[in-house]
Amino acid sequence: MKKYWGPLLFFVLLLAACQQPVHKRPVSFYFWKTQFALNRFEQNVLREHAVDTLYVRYFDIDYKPEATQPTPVSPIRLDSSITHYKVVPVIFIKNRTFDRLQAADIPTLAANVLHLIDQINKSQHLTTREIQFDCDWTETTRDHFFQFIREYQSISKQKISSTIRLHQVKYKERMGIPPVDHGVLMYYNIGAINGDNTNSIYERSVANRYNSYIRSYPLSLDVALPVFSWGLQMRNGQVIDLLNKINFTQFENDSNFTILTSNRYQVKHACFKAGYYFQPGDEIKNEHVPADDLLEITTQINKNTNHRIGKLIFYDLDSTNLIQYETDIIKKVLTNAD
Amino acid sequence: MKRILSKKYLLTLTSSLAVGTGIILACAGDWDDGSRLNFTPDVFADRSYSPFFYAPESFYGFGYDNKHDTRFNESNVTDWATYLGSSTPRTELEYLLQKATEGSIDSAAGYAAGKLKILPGSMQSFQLLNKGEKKTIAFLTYLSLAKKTEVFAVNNLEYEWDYDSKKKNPYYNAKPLNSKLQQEYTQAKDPFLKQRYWFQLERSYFFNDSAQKAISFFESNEKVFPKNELYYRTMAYAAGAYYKLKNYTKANYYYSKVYDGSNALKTVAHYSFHPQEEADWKATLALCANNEEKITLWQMLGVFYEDEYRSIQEIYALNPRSEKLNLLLTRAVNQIEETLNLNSHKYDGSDTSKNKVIALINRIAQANNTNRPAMWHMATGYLYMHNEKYQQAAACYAQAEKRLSKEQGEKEQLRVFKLINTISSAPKADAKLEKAILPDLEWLLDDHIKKEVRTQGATDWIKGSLAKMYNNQNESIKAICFENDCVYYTNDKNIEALKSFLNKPNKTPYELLVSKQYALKMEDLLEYQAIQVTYTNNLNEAISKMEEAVSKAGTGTVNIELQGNPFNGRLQDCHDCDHEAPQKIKYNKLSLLKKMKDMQDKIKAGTDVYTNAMLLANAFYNITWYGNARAFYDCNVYQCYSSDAPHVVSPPGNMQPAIKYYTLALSVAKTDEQKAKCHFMLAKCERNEYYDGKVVNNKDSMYSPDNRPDFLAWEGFKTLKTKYSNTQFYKEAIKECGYFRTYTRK
Repeated sequence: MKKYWGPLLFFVLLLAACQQPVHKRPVSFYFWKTQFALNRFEQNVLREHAVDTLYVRYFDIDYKPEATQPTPVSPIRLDSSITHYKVVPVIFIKNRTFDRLQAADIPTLAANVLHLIDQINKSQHLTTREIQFDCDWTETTRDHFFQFIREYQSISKQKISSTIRLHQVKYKERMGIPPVDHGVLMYYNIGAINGDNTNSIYERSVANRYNSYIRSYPLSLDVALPVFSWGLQMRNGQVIDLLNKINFTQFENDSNFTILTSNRYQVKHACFKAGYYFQPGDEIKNEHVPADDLLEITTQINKNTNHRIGKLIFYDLDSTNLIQYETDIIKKVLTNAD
Repeated sequence: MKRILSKKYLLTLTSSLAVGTGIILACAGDWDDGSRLNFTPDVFADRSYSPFFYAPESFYGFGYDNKHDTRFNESNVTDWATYLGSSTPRTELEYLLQKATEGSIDSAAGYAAGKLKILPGSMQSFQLLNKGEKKTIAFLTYLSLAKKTEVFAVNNLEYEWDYDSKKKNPYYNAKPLNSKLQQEYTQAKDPFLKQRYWFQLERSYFFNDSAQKAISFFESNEKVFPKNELYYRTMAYAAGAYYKLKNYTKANYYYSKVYDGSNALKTVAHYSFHPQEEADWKATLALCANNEEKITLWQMLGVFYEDEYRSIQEIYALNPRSEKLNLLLTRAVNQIEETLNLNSHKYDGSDTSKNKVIALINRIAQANNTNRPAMWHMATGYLYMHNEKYQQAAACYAQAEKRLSKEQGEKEQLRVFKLINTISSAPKADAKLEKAILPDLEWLLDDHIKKEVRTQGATDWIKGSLAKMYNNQNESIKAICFENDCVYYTNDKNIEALKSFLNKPNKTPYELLVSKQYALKMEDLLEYQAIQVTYTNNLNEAISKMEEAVSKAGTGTVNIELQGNPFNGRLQDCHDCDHEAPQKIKYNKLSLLKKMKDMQDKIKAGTDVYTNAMLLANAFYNITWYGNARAFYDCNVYQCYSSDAPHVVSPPGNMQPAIKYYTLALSVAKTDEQKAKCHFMLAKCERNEYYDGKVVNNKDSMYSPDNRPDFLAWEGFKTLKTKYSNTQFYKEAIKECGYFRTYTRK
């Protein structure tokens, strides 16, 4: 019997070598729909990459022009499958909320947010220990936003993170540093959405204007990476609509559209398509971030942070996004980021 | 106001971490409801379409539809009042329908039926419940079931921060309720009650049962009911059921009927109507029983998806006399208007998509076969006017005049357009023009005359055009009356001329109209003049002008109380400290001037010259931009705006009077402490003059962090350091003033 141990041991070692390499960096996803439910594809992706934490959009906050106080928009409906994951609620706050909100009303807003999160958690007996705020704050709103964070911290005693946009990194003196435990660098949406020949989601030359500032940002950062795509619908040179979650191949097989270039289509005849309405002459531009660019982003981030970056969070978990990539894209990005 | 998401999409939008903010509306807070646009939808289109009158954002008039729980409150009360008899107090019905709890309605129903002896406290005085009539019992029986449906049918949007109250109970067992509703529906003989039970059961099926069941229940019974509001409310649930089954063809067909049949549900249909693919849309058109139904669909497409051009073409081909064209025309014209420059109102004719719309409107106008032909001629003329084709516009208006309807608003619209055309086409504003336009101008500009047509945009346009012509003709007084402009006040001769004009007795009717348009009042001019001469140290005249202004003014800027003591002089300027400090005497503009004059007189008489000169210098300092009494120069003339430059009348920064009196104080100062203080104050003045020249009046340097002035040593600092470093004041200055401290350590 003993003589067989050698080859067996070799075989076991071989098996171990074939196993997935353990990546140093944790990976996660944003979930950004109003009903929490995952299809088989999405569940598999999470299992395959051992994702245990999800960043789930709970609700938005807006202070609408006709309203007398900020209100939550479309609170999420959860199903019980969410209890399989650690959840970080993400609250998107429209910047105009802090333009109108009086300083005296900040505590009420913080209490309302805490209460609503608590109620959503209770609906599935969840416990959450961290919260993330997503707000494209400006110089004029930063004081109120930061005060809101402090207020929230004082009543919740929770860990708080905040999304950080690249321009907020570059102009940190003017934009301020939010009083949070850590940030999530949104490494996308860096260009103007104007339908020109650059990609508004990610464009290397635009990103280069910001990269050198990341290193000196005084918060520890996770990074959010874009795996979404969208279409820009343009009329008379103006972007008039964003086409979300749309499959572009359908334009290629429709006589109402002509292909202009690899990522542009033109409308020949007025028609409905995928729930959108198009007029003759409208142009549709497909924008997404190809695999090579995702790898480039992680290379750049590592280069500009001495590998001092936390987890990678992909935006967003949706099979319509992920099927546009080869199945091993997440692994490749992780390997590249190590 | 840049918008990149369509209105329909905005209504359903939740955020996207990807989209972020700032791109949906480039500038929020500046709510534009479209009412500045001249082509008045209220005049041409049916009021029931008012949510869809063109507005750059959302619905016209009210923004967002948030009436989901309250939309039918009024009509429910009215319907039941009709059923129960006209003597039924509305307040009782309102309470029972909208406020009473399910339990209290059950008690009331028991009481009315004789099963209970006592009414709930809140209802004890209700006349309705004491009658015990059959209809009352039927009403309460119905209401008790209806209240039970609120658990799934009401959104409770007023409790927006309350998650649980919004949440529809997924475990609600509707079987007992449905069975009771079915029973009442079957037994009901009264058509009013029967229809209401039909509605309740349909809604419960929609929320609690299969979509197919909701559809079948609606379709197998709908023929027996009148096509009233409740019918369309019921139909909307059947439409929703089709939508759940992804049968968009049928869902959209039903929504189009709901849209056309019920005004209250138009915004709901707008929200829900949503063809997915071209095949859905074509199939929905194919379902239409007649052209009128197709026209409704085309109108919805035109309005909801902003393709008015295509809709007008299609509807015109089906029925040129369709009233549904009217709304589309107003929207098409308003959209063109919106893209034009508000000041120039000019369209250069280079936009092909605009041109094709304009050509279509023109073609339809020429055919004279719509239900409001004058409207199409007016639209054509109005668009010609934007293209500076005034003769063609006049011809269109003549055509419109021949075909005017009896609608007052239509006549008013034509009157406004003709007036704009007359003014725009005139080579100059001479007596002939003035005479010609006077009656219409008096009518337009008189706010007391109620008008159906929009006047805001037209008024601005006309005033702007006249002001421009008068400026070109060097009739600046008329120009300033029609359009205020700061530049005018930089010359005192202009102000005097304007005062003479405003004071002129026996004005001609045209002059009277012009003078009424002037945005400010005589006292504003006097106050401004008083302020101006103060900075030239002419206190006598300042007092006399200010007194005149005060005598004319009621409560205005002239009577403002100055917040701090204007005779304070600090090492560091601190307005808040001065404003908070206790003050024995409060000054207003006039009393300050008189006190300053008092001090001036004392200086002339040689009384306590050092103290009076110091105090007077402080006051002259404080009434500038740098001092604690900025309110002194705040007046209506300063608040005016110029199209050439926003701040032609820049805040006063003249330090010369202050320097004069600090220098005088220095010349009579006896002690080193006094002298040191004078030198420091003079240094402050020197600093302010530097900033005035380098920063305030140099627009290139503003807001530029790269162009901050260097550290500078003022003359006063130098003298202090070299001659008075042994004084107490010097030590005080070093303690208080970091700038000075830095200088002394260099």
